[in-house]
Amino acid sequence: MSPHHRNINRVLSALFGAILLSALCLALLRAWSWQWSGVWTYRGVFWQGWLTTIWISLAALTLSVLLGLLAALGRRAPYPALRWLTAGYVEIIRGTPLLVQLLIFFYVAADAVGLQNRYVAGVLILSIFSGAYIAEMIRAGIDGVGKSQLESARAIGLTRWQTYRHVIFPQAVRHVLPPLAGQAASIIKDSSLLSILGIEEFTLAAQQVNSATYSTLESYLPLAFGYLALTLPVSILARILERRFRYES
Amino acid sequence: MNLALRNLTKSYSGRTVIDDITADLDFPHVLALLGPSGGGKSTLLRLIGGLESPESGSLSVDGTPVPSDKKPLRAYRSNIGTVFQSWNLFPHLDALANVMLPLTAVHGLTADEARLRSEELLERLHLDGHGHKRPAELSGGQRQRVAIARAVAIKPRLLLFDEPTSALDPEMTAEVLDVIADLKAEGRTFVLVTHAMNFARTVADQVAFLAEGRILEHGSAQDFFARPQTDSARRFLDRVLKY
Repeated sequence: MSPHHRNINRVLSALFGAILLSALCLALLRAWSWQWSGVWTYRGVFWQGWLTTIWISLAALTLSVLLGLLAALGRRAPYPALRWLTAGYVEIIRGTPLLVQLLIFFYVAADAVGLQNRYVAGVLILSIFSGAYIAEMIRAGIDGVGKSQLESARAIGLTRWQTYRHVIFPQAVRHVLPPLAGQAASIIKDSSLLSILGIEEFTLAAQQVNSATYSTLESYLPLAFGYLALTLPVSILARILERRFRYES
Repeated sequence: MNLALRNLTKSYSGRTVIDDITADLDFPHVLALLGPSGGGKSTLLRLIGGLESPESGSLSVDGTPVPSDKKPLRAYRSNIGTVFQSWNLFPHLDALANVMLPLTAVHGLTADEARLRSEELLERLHLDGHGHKRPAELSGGQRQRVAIARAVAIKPRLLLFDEPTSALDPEMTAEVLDVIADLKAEGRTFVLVTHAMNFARTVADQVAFLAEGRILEHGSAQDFFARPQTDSARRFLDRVLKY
């Protein structure tokens, strides 16, 4: 298709999409008797909840990347005990639902340890959960560095740590960043489950507004858009990174 | 240079690749390892380079045995320059950085010293102007020359070439072989595994013929090509020099 035709195609598709979307919105507006006024008075609650979700996600992202890195290195350590430990961590955490982990770790483990602060517990549990997935991503990134590279590094006389620093990490980072950005979006969405622990993030905020105003759709629709507002930029970033880091090796 | 092999054995997952070899290989500059595929040439080269350790037996270079402990082995490896068939350059570094890395990371040169030496070498190998390019942006022949620059930059006591031109087209093969011939003219010592038979004939001082994990014959290159002693060698040369 020539560039000229391609552009016309794009414009027509966009126009069609816009018409369809507006028709949908109009239909929705007509079908439901919207009560926005009640929800609007609670906008502060939404805002606070949204901010809480943001900082919980940031904290969990940072911690889980650290955990994931340690676990990925542990999987490749020359000590079998360490390898088994980290493999066990990754398999168990990835094999059980986050909800189950939240319930077990908070109501059982945190109680036993005496951890009272819900927010800290929530961030920790979310980080442990996410860390297992990130560990696998990092491990795949490291393994993706060709064996011939490692041999080259040996032939030159690099130590284990030098090989990680000069050869493996620079290349692994390129493989890991795109799925890592995807995992960031997952963390943002998974943080909604922290609401069951009574942590006042975005989802719980919406539930509170709903119980106060009885306007269900008006409470939950902003919730969806609020999460989209966070995850869409992250997805776009992931795609940009994917394109930037593709090269021959 | 003298390579002393004593009952050298190496196997991979049950398969014996180097079969109890005892030999003394003496050569002023260039030793060529020739033979059919799977005969053990590459493995022997890797044993000489300290990249593999033998199951049993020993290997000594000029009287000093190749170490088996981690640290001394690493030090030994760092003084040997290797050039393999598949470039093995680091794709995320440009040509200059590739040559500089062993100098700064292993041999303790400062960045400036390393850069100076590397740029000099790249120029000598007709790669000036290409130093800032990544391996993906270079031709096969250029990549191999960068690999040679990296191997030579560390001023090694021994260079090892494992089929350096097998993956190159005839023109690039010639440009790389020119470089290797220059290295010999400079007086460097190296062991060469190659299928470029005419090149081996021109450049080698000594030849060791390996088949099925054993050295069937070894001696001066002239003698080997003119009067091969064993049937295997004779058959091999007939096949390889046919075209």
